[in-house]
Amino acid sequence: MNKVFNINLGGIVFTIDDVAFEKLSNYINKLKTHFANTQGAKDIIMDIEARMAELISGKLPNPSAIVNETIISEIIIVMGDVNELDDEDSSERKQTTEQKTSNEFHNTNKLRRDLNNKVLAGVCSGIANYFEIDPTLVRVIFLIVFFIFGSGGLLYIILWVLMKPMEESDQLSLNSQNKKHLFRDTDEKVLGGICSGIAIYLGLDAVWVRLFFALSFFGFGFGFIVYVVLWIVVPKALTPTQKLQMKGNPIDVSNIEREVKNTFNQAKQNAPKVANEVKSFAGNATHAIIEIAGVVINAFGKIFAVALLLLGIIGIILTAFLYFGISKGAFIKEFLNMCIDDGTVLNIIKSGILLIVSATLLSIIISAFRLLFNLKFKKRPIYSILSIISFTGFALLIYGGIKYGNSVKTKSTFTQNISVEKHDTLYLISTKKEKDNENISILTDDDGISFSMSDEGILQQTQKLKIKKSFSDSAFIEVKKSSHGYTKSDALSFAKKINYNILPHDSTIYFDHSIFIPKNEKWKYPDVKMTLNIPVGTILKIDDGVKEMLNRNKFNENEYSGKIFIMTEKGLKCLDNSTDSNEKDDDDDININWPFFESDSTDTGIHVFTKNKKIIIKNGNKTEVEEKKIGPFHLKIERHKKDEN
Amino acid sequence: MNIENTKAQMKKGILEYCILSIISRGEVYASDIIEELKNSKMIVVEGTLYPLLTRLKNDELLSYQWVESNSGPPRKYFQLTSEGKRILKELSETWNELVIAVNRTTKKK
Repeated sequence: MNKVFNINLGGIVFTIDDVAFEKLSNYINKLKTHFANTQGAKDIIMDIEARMAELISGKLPNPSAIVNETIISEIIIVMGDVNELDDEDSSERKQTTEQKTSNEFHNTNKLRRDLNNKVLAGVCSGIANYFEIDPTLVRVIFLIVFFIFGSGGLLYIILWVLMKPMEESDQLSLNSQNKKHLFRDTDEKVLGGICSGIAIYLGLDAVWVRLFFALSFFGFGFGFIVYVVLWIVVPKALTPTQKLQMKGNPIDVSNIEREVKNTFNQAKQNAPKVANEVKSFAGNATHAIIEIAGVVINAFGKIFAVALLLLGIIGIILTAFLYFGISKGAFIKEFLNMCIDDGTVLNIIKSGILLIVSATLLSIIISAFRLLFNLKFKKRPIYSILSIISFTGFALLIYGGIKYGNSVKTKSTFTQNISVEKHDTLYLISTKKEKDNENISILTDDDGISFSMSDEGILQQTQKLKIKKSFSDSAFIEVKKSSHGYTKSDALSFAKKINYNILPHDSTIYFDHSIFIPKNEKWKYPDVKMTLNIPVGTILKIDDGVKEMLNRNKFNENEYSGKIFIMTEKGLKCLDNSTDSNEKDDDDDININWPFFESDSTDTGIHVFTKNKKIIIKNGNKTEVEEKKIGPFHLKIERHKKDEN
Repeated sequence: MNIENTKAQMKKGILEYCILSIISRGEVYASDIIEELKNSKMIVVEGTLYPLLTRLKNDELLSYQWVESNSGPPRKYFQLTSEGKRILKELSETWNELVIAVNRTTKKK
């Protein structure tokens, strides 16, 4: 039993059986490959097909009879084997090529702008023709020169004026060249079709080129620039001719087979007896190698696809975690909640993010599936939908961003003065609350600025402290709390709500370690700036936390390198400018380890240990424990105070 | 010595001359040319002719037109261009000279 086909050969319809069809199309394909480099190949094939049709119909008893293998074999013998054709006209073809090369040489010797293959004015491709190289290379060089030295543009314009456009005869001879060109393959594109164009040019699978580009995007960053440059420079393959030029002589099975056969035909002359055996063996071997290579490439492709798929799935799980606030990922959601007070804007921004992320993840997963199962479904509509989705996402984000920007456009500052008891020596201490420890850092910066999120709200360490000479005899702290908002009063009310405490007690001033914004409040770029005014002669001893606050004022970075200062007429002067060497500090009679902290995990209050005092602040109550050694007596004094603040 | 190659070389130029002179007798289509060439044993396999015809056409020695046929699809009928006629004339002169020259050389006793 045999399948039959109806075919149109040279304008006549035949019914042909399976085996005969296979043989016939194989023969015609061989002819096509054989004549691929000959001028007018299409005509030749057409003529041969017409003649074959004529011969076949002459051999059929009636027009509706089925064409079988015997008939085709006979016809092929009449028409001649492809290799026979090769033998008989090889010298002739050689001559034609020689003629052609001499033509080319003659024509390309003139430097002409190539209008057929132009991006701007055809200068680059004209130069490329002249030197017989790929125009893309010239374009890349031009662009590099243009960007680096700025002279490429001028050079281009000069050449534009000087070079004459190509004449028609030149164009014809150039068109007949069967050179391979680099084009953007827009049929198989993901972005601009560059990877797939390069893949065709090099005869690789597009996946590898894409993988290489993707890696260089993330790995080195220059991949992106290269891609953009190529996008500008490499022309799109629009016409069928360009598409053929793009493919040039593809490295496909029949071409390799032909190459191998040609080689063995030469060998045949030397060793005619073994030729046939070797020929069939060679054919088998080539097929086997190609098959193995195919399997290997396929396997790598599959591994890549699996990796891609995993990436997509992990991405989806992560998104779900972040979006629905499962586990620690919740902080992003809460942070957004605190930043944006308008519920609609919040939802717009959230859905924008969701759209972008889901579109990206979906396209990753779809690509993975396509690779994995070789799905041949039409990818274009799916990718169009996905890009529409992500563009919508971007649009929403931009809209939400503008709305949000509006809601924080005004800044207001709320100023407050806190007076400090007059002492010869003031201790500045930053107090770390327990909630400072359990949090997720959002942003940390070299200058000691940091944002973090705890279960209760946002903690930010951005507060700045300046120390100035007081013009009166008294010491005081000026505190400026600022915030943003839609209107001035709006911003002011946010500023007043900022939870930052400065607690002067005796000769010590306690500064909160961080600005705290509880969850139920809104976060509108709050900030605190303090200025401590002290009379001349006052000695200051500070701890690391306070030093950070001082150093956040960037302009006087080096001023506060030590820990002990004195206010002079000329300003603050450091008394222990020797922080580079800790050993030296130890030898000093001033104990720089003072004061130190210990957080007591059993107690929820703040514990501050000083050299001879222990202060516990708990629920607004302050307990001061003082231990003194006077002679043989060991005294322990406990004072309880109700905290005013 | 590769005898096949030498034979092909010898035939090559002559084949073109033959084709041109067949066409010069009046419009013909490819199968007619093949018929004549096969009868005179100028070619063995038919496939050889078509690349040659296409090349002659590209060199503008030949032109063709499609003519409807009552027994099948339309056929390409070839005719010589003025350039073709000129070349044919030159070739035939060369051929006659060659025949004389070859005869003189090979039949000398």
